Amino acid sequence: MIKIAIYGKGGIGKSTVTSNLSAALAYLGKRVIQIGCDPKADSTANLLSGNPVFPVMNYMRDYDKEPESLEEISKVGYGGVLCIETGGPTPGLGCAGRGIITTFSLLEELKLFEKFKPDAVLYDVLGDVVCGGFAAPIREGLASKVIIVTSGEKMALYAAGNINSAVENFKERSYANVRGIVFNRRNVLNEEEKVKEFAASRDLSIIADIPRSDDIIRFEDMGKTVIEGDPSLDVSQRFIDLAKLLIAEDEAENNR
Amino acid sequence: MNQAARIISIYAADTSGVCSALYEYGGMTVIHDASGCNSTYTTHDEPRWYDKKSMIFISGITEKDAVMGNDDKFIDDLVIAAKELKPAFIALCASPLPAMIGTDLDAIAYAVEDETGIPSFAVKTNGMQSYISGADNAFLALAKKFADCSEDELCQPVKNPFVFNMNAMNLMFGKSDTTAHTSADSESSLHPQEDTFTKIKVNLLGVTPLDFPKKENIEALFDYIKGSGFELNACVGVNTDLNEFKKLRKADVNLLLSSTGKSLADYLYKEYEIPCVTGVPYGETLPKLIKDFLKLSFEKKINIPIPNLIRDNDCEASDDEIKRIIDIHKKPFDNNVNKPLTGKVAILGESILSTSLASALLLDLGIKATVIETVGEGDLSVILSDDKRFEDENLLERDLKNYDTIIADPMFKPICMEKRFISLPHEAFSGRCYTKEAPNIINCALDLFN
Repeated sequence: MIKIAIYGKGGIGKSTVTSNLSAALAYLGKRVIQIGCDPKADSTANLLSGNPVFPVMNYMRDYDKEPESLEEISKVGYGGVLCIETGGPTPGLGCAGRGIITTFSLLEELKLFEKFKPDAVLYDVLGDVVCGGFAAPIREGLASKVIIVTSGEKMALYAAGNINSAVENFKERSYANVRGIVFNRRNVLNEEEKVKEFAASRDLSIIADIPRSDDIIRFEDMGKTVIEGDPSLDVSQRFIDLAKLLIAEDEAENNR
Repeated sequence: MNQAARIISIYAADTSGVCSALYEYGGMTVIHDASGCNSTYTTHDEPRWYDKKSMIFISGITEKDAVMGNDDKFIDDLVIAAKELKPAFIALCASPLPAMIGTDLDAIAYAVEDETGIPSFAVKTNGMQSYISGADNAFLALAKKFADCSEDELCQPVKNPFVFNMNAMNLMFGKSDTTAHTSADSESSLHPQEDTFTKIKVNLLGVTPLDFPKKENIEALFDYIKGSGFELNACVGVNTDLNEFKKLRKADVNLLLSSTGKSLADYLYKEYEIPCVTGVPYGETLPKLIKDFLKLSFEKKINIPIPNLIRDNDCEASDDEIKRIIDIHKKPFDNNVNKPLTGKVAILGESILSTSLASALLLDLGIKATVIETVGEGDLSVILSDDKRFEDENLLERDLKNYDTIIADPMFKPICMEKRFISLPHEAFSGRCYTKEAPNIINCALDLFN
């Protein structure tokens, strides 16, 4: 099974990359689950045509009890992608990191993987690994690989470096490894050189190069991914190529 | 206030369940907790603490450790202790504090095993569940590590520089102490007979002092198994050691005696196709029935939840042989004959123990009793639709008004009004307060209720 956690600086395009990758995997015939691990709960919006799923933490807050079925906290979006959002506590209160851990425990109790039997699970995680809760998606048994989304902007690369170091620190714990970088272009000065230098200095590979595209924004305004909007576009093909790469790697690992 | 206990006691927590389950297996059980004292887990909930030694520790997590995520300090302490004591395994479990901050004990166990070579695992707890989930998860975790090992196998990676030896205990407690390890060996009379290799081999599952606190209980169980012509393959929980645990897969059938062994029973059925009979041999008739069902379970490889079959009139036994066995033992009682307990009877407690007692009362004395499950966890498949479940003291107190006789741990008595009360101490509820008064009702006449 493909199990990937996607990290990166806030606002860098993690949710865009994740939902397009989910859509691309679904487009290639895979059963996909996307779990948004951000209190903003907007990771899966573009897979659901603007009809958001009820986040798990919101359910608990509103009903003062845990959901008893997956149907209450999930929604099927484009290509059959099962969309789940952890959500978060009341802004400024509570503990969002703990919310992610609670959500994962709950999904385990509700036997999410046994029931849905996915080929791929993607975790879209909040910008920085600020505490244990935000490292939860890369714990053993959850994501096995980490993809870092970055542009050539200084702060995006800085956050990417921190994420890479955090994952490195967890090596002795049998956590996920960094698979590579998705280069989400912002067209800043010397962007390509900066990202390539960053990747080379950390022995990371750039596994996808996503051009800055008005098509992404155009289809997002319609509540869609570019895969759903027009899979023949160049930018759509970049996501489909990334999906093919991950599928091929997964099949190779299964055959090993 | 919902789920608050103002008057009655509460059940031992999951962390106590872990300590109790792993007590005799030679491992180091560490509770990640702020306390510097482990008496909550041991002296209050553990009757073996004064005559059998076991390596049970508290990590002593501080506020600073929690806020700063000082897992490395915990790992270093574990490695130092493990290198000195050389336990057979290391088991980690969480109190509410690490559970709330989401400490990844699985990852810490992985790191410690990698560093020391000693099999290490985490048992899922949060300090807020009952002893049942703690002990149940602990037995399952132990099985996942050791059930596939041969008896003389250390089950440790090749690079492991450590071999478990008795010096570990001597280092901790001095050479003169009797340890949990050696105590089992010294009680050879309680171990499997050597001349019974052709007999059906039975595992006893879910036997911790939290449910079976007295030596008499254990001896009665062992005598019953052997006296019924079976061979005792392994007793999981008490009077045992890790070598015996590694033999679990060699059994022909399991006898599940409490909910603490439920997940292990399911695991042994799934992994090794060992079927399971559920029920405690209370009274005089139920033991005979369990004996027949153990044989049937072995022959047909089927799981048999006995309390359901005895108590549920609507329960359609799918197997003719099961029906035949029940018909032999379940004799009709004349309703005109005075019964020792009149009116409505309630039995409070853990599901398997309580439903077994209800079955025994029905079979031996013709008394119908309602089971009120009060732990809130466990094997609920043995609970009938007429039975009840209460975790809330207020709701329980209100419901108990409907009964004439209540059979329960003495610490339930203050909410039982002036009803007739039959005391049946439960270690997991009242600790050692009433252990001496606890009667043995395994495989003997139920005089207590006459």
